[in-house]
Amino acid sequence: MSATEPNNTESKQSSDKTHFGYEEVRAEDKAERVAGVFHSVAGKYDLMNDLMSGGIHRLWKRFTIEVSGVRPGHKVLDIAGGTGDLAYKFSKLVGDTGQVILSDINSSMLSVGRDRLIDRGVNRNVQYAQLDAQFLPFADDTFDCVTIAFGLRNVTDKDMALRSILRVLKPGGRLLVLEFSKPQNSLLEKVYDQYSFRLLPFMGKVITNDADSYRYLAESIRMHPDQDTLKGMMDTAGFANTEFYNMTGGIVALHKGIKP
Amino acid sequence: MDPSISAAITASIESVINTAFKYDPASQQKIAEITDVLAIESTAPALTIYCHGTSDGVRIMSHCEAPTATQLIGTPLALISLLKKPTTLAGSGVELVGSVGLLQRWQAILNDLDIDWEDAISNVLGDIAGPMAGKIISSGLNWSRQQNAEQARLLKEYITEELKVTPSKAEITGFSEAVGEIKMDAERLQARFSQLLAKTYAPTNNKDAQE
Repeated sequence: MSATEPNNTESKQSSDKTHFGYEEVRAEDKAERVAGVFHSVAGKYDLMNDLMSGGIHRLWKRFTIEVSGVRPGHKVLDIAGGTGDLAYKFSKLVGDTGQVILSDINSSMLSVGRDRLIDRGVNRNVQYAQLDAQFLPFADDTFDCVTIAFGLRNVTDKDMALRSILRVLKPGGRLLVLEFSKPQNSLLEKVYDQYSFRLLPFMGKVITNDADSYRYLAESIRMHPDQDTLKGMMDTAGFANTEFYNMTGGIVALHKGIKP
Repeated sequence: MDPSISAAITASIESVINTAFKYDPASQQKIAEITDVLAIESTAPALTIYCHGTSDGVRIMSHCEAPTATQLIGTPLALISLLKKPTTLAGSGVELVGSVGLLQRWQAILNDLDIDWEDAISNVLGDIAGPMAGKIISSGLNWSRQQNAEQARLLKEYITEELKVTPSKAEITGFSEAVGEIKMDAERLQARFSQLLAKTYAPTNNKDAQE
């Protein structure tokens, strides 16, 4: 972790302030600032994901699908679904009797995701919704599984989002949070820091002509709660049997929680 | 094992297997009917993979939430040897837990896999060179199968006819028939002997009784 970065503990923020990367902003401004980032990168989001992770993000998502335990007939909500990687796989698993909602707060990302799924022939069991994870517009006990991949760190009030997700899950349903986290090896952490703060903005500049968005990405990852903190937040929100899987040395973690 | 690594391994295996099934639609159709989960546990390196059929081919996972119907446990070499049409798991070094039927279904499908090489190669080399190369590969594989069968026959003949280390099948059959005849003769002799004993002692016993 860089010596200059602020403390990443969410609870230490004042009630009307939150973080946008390392910058402290008013809570009501964060969504707009995040939206600006994703409007900027949406067109080349997939390309950048592949380049930044060396394609490993596909393996992280593959493992997420396996842990989801989704089967035919299930109803799945994919929050911050972006370009629809998870929704595509879920649509095959739930079959004609199931339903997948691909959602994102950002219209540009949702539009890219919808076009991509339609291009891949997915049109029978997937619906699209532009929504805020903090205020999910669904009835109580609706979904068997809710996923949020690389999206929770951009949510203004994560605790509120977790409570909202808990509400829409059926009893026994599961939440899966796939998110960047804290590397478990100090050497890996140093290499990762160098990569995130030097190479990542450079790649953003070259490919999307937008270094700032990718600097925000690196900063927002550092500000996101670590594995144990997020697990505690899920416990506090009311999830049971919470656990997490570290992937690629803890660079990414998959958190799982069950609605009791 | 880091889930990223196990996911990479299962993704690679799945890709190879499904590429093969893509060129054998009949086997792919049979695979789609297998919905029960088969777990294959390698002891060294420690890795468990789970597989079941889908309409897109085989799904292979490093983590499975569904219950497994059959579990195979062994070393990678022992597990791979199961593909060579074994009739028993005894001595194979593989432990089986659960349904044998599921394993037999998988084994039958993999053994019957008949890849359309012409189609597969045509996708790479085009419509002219592809079928020619495909025919060469198919011919090569058929020739290889015939040679394997021929070599096995020749080796058997060399051991029995030239080295005379083991008897031939005809000798074993003749010996077996001779043993069978001797056994039947012995049984007939035993029966006649018993009959004679019965005849010999029966009147004597009656006379003794009258006296």
